[in-house]
Amino acid sequence: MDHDQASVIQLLMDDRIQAWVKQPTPELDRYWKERLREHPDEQPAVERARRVLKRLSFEKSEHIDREGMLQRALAQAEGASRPASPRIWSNWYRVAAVLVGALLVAAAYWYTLPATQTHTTTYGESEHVVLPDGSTVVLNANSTLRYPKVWDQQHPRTVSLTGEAFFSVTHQANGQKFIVQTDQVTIEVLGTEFNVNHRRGETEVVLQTGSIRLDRASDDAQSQVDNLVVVPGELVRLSKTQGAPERRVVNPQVYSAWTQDRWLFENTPLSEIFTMIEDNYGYQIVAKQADIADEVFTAELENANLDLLLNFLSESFGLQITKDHRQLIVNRKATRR
Amino acid sequence: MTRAKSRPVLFWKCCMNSKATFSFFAPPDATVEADDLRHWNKFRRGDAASFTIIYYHHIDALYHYGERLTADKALIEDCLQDLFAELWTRQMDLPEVQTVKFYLFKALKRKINRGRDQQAKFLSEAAAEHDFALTLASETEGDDWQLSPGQAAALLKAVNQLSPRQKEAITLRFYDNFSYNEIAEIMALSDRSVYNLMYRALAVLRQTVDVGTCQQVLLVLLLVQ
Repeated sequence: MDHDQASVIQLLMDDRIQAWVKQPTPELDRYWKERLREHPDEQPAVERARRVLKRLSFEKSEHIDREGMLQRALAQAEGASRPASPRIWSNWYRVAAVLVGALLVAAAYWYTLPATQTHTTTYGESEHVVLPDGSTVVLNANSTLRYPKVWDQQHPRTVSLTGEAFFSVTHQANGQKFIVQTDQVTIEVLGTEFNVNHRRGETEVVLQTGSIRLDRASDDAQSQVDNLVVVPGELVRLSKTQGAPERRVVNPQVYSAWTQDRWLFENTPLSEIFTMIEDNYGYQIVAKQADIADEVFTAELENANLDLLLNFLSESFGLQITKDHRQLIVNRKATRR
Repeated sequence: MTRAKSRPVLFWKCCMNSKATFSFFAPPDATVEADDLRHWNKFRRGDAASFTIIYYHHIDALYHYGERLTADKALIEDCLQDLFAELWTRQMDLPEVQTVKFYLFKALKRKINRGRDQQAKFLSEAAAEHDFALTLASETEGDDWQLSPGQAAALLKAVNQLSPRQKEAITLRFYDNFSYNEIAEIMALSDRSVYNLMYRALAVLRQTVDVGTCQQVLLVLLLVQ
């Protein structure tokens, strides 16, 4: 009895069990199988025990003054005698000077520094941003998000976006609105989840949950978008050429999968996939045969990775995809499988 | 300490027509930690915005950890402000880390301990070990192991009779998911000491079995060990 219980405790404490459950590898698999062979009856007990222990919790405060602590921390740091800011500035300029065109970005950033927070992503990069009200934004590649550093309760919460982002907006008790501004349209929400894709002079909004209202941006006199209420599962597309928006029902997961580093394609034409690659990775795609772009693709990829995607596309459709500087040249292979 | 990296599992169904379907999986935990590290390194290289992201990602967990170390809310807030003020100031002098959460927890505990020691000196009293009560989170994820109120009460009674250090070790392990040598560094103990703490804590729970009367209680505690 004593030996058995000691061994159960040992098994319970084994780091490798935790690792095995989280991230199985062949080595851990073998190790765990060995241990189980020594104590065949114990796995269920250990599993249940671990699950009970994982439910152990404790009294926690609900109310944490996050903003207050952050502001006081920064105030305390700035008040210190060490001149931290100039060092950050000079390092930023050094980094920015290396990137093409980034000098302009840096200048804009520092000009707006006192009041505005800016997040910019480059090709192939995405970023998670937490806003002062707890809302989260996943910013896709080649995109910029801007918002004032200080938010109060009286005015609507406002952010401005170029590119693509997925918003998860917190609901405020006082009904304070949340506004996303692009130079084409203004999106007003109360608390909800939606994807905004504003590229190539077009804006595409897909609503996942909640409800949003679209209005034309103040400087777009030709737009016919006025007080347009969108419902979950709906996609609204505004193009630069047509004033009237296009609306249809879609599976919102397809449009927000990228936020989890996943790609979800459902009968998606390759033309759309190529556009996505161009927008997010900065390549120019040249399809040698016109009918390539009409092929449809259905797949679910986790751990999104461009080379992997190109691999699967070439395997699935018998294509040869070659990189030539910033171009991707797509050719049908001579013999199909 | 290195974490095992898993090889992603790949399924691919071959299709005769031009449509292809497949799935490709990767472990979720690794992504969160990798994200964290990315922001940490961006901040070290001069990106001020990453600082705010790191702050909001960890502030809740840090604050709750502070509550396990002291009842003094003002002290917790002061130490957190201190901690992040230092991060902001040191920025480019910050070290590379394996896990951001681990670095922050260690730093917070050191500050709170110093704060408590100073208070103790001022009051010419020994700094008492702060105790906290363990509770059970409500059932999640379709658990096939449901505890009755009686079992839950018995379990909590046994667990709350552990010493503050044993509780701290257990919580850092099963609630915060730190490894043994991370717990050792956070608590400023040797690996061996942490191992013994945990072992004794789990053994104490097993011993309570002999005192208990109800057969269900016995069952619960036996399994908990």
